[in-house]
Amino acid sequence: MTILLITLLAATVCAVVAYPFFRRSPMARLDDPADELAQSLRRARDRVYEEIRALQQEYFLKTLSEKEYREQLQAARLAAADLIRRQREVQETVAAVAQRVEDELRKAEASGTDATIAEAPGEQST
Amino acid sequence: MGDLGTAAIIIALALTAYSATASFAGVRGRHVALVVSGQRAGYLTTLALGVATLALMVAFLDNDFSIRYVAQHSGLSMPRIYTWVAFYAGNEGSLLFVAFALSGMATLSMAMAPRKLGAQRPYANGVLMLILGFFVTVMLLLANPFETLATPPADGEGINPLLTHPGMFFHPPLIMVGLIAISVPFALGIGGLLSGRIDDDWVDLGRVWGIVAWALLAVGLLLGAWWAYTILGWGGYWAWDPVENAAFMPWLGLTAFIHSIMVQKRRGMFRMWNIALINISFALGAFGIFINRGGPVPSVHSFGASTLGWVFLLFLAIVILGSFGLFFYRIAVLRSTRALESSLSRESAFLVNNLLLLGIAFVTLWGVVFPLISQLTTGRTITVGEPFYNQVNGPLILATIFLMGIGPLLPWRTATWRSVRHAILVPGAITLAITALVGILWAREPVVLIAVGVSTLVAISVLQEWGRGTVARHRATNAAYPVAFLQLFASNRPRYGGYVVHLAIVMLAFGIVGSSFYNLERDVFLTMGESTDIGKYTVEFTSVDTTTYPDRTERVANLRVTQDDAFVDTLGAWHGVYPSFNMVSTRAGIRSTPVEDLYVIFSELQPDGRTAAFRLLLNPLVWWMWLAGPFVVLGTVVALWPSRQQAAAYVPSAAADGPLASGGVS
Repeated sequence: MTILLITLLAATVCAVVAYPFFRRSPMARLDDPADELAQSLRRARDRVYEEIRALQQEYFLKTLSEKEYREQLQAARLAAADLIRRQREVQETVAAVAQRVEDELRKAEASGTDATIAEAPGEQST
Repeated sequence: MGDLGTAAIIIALALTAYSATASFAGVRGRHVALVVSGQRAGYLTTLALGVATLALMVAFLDNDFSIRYVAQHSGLSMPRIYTWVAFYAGNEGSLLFVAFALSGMATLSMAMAPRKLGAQRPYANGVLMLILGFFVTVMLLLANPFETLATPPADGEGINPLLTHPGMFFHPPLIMVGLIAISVPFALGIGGLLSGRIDDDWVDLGRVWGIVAWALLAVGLLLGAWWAYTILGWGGYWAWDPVENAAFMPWLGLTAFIHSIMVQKRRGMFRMWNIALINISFALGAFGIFINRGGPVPSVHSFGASTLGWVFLLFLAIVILGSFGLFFYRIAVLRSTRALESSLSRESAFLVNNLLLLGIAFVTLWGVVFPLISQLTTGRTITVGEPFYNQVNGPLILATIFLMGIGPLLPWRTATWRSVRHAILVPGAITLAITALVGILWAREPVVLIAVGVSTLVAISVLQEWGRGTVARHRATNAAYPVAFLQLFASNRPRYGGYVVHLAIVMLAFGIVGSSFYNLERDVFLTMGESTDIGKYTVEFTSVDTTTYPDRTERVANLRVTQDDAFVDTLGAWHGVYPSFNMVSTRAGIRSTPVEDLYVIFSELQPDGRTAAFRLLLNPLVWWMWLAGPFVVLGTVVALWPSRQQAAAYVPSAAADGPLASGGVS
């Protein structure tokens, strides 16, 4: 019984650990370079939103005077607007690049040739 | 069971080695399948160590005395309920417990880790597996809980009587799990340093696990104090014992960390501080494990017969050198883009908070290691007692509590003296009035008045904010006051959960001050029918009930308590003799009220069977200390409760009451 349980445990471990090497469906990338800038902008935007919420709460709790509140709120709003604009630019650029890649693929299929897209360095085929 | 348990530990070791290697190699080579495989191997360590844990529990329940650990920590007469305590009573079992707990937390934290962490996640997993691998290796090679005996005894040695107390069901596991839980935020921080990407994505997960570890240690420390109060028979609850300090120091580091990381979350600042704080907290936790298992400093707690001190000292050295080496290597990446704008700001308050808490930790550390240093340098062991800790840490602790009151009143970024005066005016005035009243009616000692003052300031500041926020919400949303109060909590759970914990600290402060400065103590001999006075109470020794068991003799001294001839209560002070352990254990008879505890220890029954020695104490306000525990738990739950509004879009509002009307403040 003990040997059976040990064998079962070892077999389960081997199967689960080995499975990722045999799965056919593609796995998510570790780091997508295209996402890096978008994510950093998102982080900065979320922080500004957090700051605005905190300002409003502190104003309510009378930790800030009206003048201080208005000044800091205006600065935060301008920062938020700038970040949103930059995010939109990045999204439009990424969408345009994706559209271009798709167009190229369609052209290649239509012409009947085996188009290969060069892999980016370090990219893993799945 | 022994073979199954040992095999499971070997499999766990193989998994940790593979998981760490695959994680580091996979992320370096950008091999996604290898990273995923490594992560799954990490998850499976929980299964393997779970099997080992189950095997040991079954061995205990089956009274399998062929396993040395079972024979040493249980017996045929041990009630089944103590199997849980026996599991971690000794070095080997506690190592298995710690390893299993760490594997579970590693699995949970890595499964919770968001994808946006990127390469930081496999590095963090690798670090967790290295830590786990260390514990499993020590267990397998030096302290195997499944080691067998050539000649199994007919009966085991039984369980240590000191462990047969309700507090022991929770205090040791909470402390052990709390110490090892620091591994998670530590691994996230180190993972960030290794990946070279230590931006702010790890803050939320690091904060959550930092608070989890902090809360586990806080409740564990309180339970330990309660255990000491009820069972050790000296009427106290904290003696600055080295092993108590060994859990207290990382708790201080974590307290600084969970506050400081809010600055990084809110303002993108204190990045270096936060990495340094989590490194320090983990190193102090490793030091605590060394103290507990190496036995270099005498303590009532340590696994005294352990010879593993050098192993944990080596681990501690690697942790310190590795974590801080990496910290300085990556220091350029850690620098924040924002600087402190004003010394009169909440950020400054957090900075001072960090310094004070580290100061208290350093003083405590100095007290713990001083006997070792004196032995090495002078050949004589000079111990450090309570007066040192009280005199040096006392003012630092009071300053920290003062900051707890002032800090939340300061705004982020910058404030003017005018706005600060305005914010402090009402709570300050109320505090002064209450402190003056206390001084006139009861207390004269300056230390007591300062402690009352700073604690009152914290309480009034918290209640003021709750009051103002509730009224503002009521006006903005027309919700009933109780509903508005709950909505206030829901609007910013980390903040208001933190305030609940601050109130718990105030309760602790009152309890400590009351019992330290105004307690009464008497040692008396009483014959049955005799009585004695302590404070306003008269205590009469009425009878003794004796019960004999195979492994012990229990006696309960019954005492009748009156006040001005009116009956108040009956107390039973318990006394047990364990011949096989050559040990006497006591449990105090306690009458506990919010005002004071009447505390009686039954020390010794004289040969005549009618006269007994008692220690009587009156301890004011101790009740509030134990009430603090549930408040710590409640505050932690509130602070960690997930908010639906975490990523809600900000709706620009021109009106000052915009966010409350839209429910957007969080």
